[in-house]
Amino acid sequence: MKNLGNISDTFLIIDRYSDYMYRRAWGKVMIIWGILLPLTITIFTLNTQLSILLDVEEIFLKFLATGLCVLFGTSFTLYIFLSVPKLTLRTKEEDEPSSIIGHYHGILLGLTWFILFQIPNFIIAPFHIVSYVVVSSIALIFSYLLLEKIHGRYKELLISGTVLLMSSIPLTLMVFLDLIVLAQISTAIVFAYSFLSGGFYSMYMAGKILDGNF
Amino acid sequence: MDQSRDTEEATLVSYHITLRENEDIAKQPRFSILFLLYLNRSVGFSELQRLLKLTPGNLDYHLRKLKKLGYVSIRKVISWRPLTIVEITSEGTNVFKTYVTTLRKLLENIE
Repeated sequence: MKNLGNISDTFLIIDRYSDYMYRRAWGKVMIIWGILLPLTITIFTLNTQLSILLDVEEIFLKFLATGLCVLFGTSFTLYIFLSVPKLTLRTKEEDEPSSIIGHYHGILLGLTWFILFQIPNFIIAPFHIVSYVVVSSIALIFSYLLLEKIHGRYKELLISGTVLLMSSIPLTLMVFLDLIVLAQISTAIVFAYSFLSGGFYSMYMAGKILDGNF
Repeated sequence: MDQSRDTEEATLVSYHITLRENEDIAKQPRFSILFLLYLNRSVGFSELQRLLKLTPGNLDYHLRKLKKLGYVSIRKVISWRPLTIVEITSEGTNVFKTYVTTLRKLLENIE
């Protein structure tokens, strides 16, 4: 009986460790995107000055910044999430349809983010950058709703998503009023604020889970 | 009839012997440490300490016991801060697997 007690205690510990690793992964990913996205937008804003300074074509600089952001961000995200160990012990119930979403939620999330981030490519120039705010907010809110069913509440995703969605209204207005530079700088700030605060909050919550205070 | 009962009893006795032989890993928190390492291969010392709610000295005591038995290895890594990583050895993996399998078989015999 003592052995069985040990096993049930250990299951709780493993569950906590798994939650900690997953939430920390979200934190790291949000922090890295919170750095990459504003940095890319800043390069877009200062594109003319930078292209003169570096003596390169403006379009080349834009292409390079976007390419590096997507390449570095995606590979970092994949590396972080794929290195989170799957500590859940498989049971027969896992083959039920309801848990299939749970099993493949990572792929579903990845596909959703990828598809949503293709939408801004079809948006006309002045609204191009602001449209990233809208798709990011939709992706974050979708992630929150999906994760709520599988991993519990990731409040930081909902808050960051809502902040981005609400910010998209004044940002769109700025573009309408032809305040393009101001809109770009504000977009960079909004991205940095929502993603970095969400990421650091996620890391803080991961620590609390590890200590068993959550 | 008697022969099959004898065989059954002998099997149960062998399970009990296996469990008794590995009593060192049955105790908490050693069982949890090995289970976690069995699933994840390596875990940081401070993570283990916070997860198991142990003092550094207490965790160190249990890890030294497991290291002495050859079930875990401990190595220092220089990252942006010094880290102590605890890893399960192949012997630790085998012993733990045998232990859990025996425990499961024993439970299957309980009606």
